[in-house]
Amino acid sequence: MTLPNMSFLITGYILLMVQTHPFLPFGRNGVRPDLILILVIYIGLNYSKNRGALLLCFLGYLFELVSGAPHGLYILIYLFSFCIIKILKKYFNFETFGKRFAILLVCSFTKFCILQFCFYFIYETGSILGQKPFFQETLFTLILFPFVFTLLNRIPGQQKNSSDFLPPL
Amino acid sequence: MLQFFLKKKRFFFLLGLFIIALIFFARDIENRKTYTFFDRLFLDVLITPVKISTLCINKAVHIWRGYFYLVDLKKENSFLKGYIENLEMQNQLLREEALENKRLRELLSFKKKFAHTMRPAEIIGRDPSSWFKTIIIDKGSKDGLVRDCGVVTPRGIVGRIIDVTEASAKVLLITDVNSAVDAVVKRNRARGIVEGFGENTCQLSYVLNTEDVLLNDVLVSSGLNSIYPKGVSIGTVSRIVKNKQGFFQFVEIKPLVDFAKLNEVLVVLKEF
Repeated sequence: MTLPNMSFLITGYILLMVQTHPFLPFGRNGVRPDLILILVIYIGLNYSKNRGALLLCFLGYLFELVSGAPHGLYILIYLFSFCIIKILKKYFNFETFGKRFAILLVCSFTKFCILQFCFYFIYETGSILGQKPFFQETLFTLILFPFVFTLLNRIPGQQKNSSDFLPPL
Repeated sequence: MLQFFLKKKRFFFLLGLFIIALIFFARDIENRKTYTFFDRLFLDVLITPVKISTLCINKAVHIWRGYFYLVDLKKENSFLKGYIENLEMQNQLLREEALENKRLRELLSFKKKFAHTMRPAEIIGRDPSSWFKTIIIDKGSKDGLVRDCGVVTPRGIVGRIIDVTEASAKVLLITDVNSAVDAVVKRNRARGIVEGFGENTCQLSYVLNTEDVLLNDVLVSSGLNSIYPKGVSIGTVSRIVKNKQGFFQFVEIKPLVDFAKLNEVLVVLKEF
């Protein structure tokens, strides 16, 4: 495994541990920021399709191990988000602060739509799960987004001469 | 044909990953799978640093609270003395009632009440997702925990174990949409199923419109599913909507356990 792959895997693991920790100051009522989604955006903007998708599958799998979510759901969510980023990247550049926030909102909304689909058609409880957790989760993620993104930019072993590489915020 | 696949290999690779994820998802929805050997291995490696840091933070919190306890000790001591006197009085009355109860049970040849073995456990992780409600505790199969063990606190039911590794276990909270507990209303024994409703509430399903359920009625476990002991509190009725069209009324339940402040739980061990 190459150094960037390993670095991202370790970073993903650390972010997941922070998100799982019972003493996380955010989300005492169960709503937590999605730090892995920030990593998905970073990987989507900086990584090749194959390597990025494989890495996200593994991160999604780790996420599902500590979560009550059914196996495969978060892998699907992260893969969908990854594909959306790859498609949007063909038409826009994401070098500005505002555009990166916009892509986070798009990914959060994609995730919300997939989860709502699940709750409506699989668990048949969609009508009772309101938008409150979605707004809270997105807000928490937006607050932490600049810090996590800046930290990700400092991960060693990245191909800094790559045209895909983004400057820090 | 081969040229086409080679040309679009990235697309087919992604498509393959999507299909694999969908297959996993569909299989899990149909019948929730338990942890495999690799799942248990990964989770044990994954959760160990969280476990250590949680225990360290808990220790620090205890020391800090101990300091404040000493500061307020004198004030609290006088309050507690009065409280103990009150409890002693209540205790005497309850002892009398217990003796009377025992005599009556013997008279009626009641079976001896099943005594459950409980094991205390500490919470070392919460669900990283905002949509599913689970917690991870620091006891696992080496402590005698198995799948479907009930998890309670003195205040009421917390949930049940859905996955176990050697040193940790995942608990599905009663507020999760996948959770269901057979329950009765304490006041009039009206039956229903307490189902998770998301956002720290539950609903009492399958309660007929004709059933007399009131606000603030307490719900307790029926003991039928052999996961939770009989008579453990679940929550109180916080909202009722009588449906004129259907058979059942909508009853919202507020759990008695405050999941946000939960640090320790008791696991009801299965007797074999």
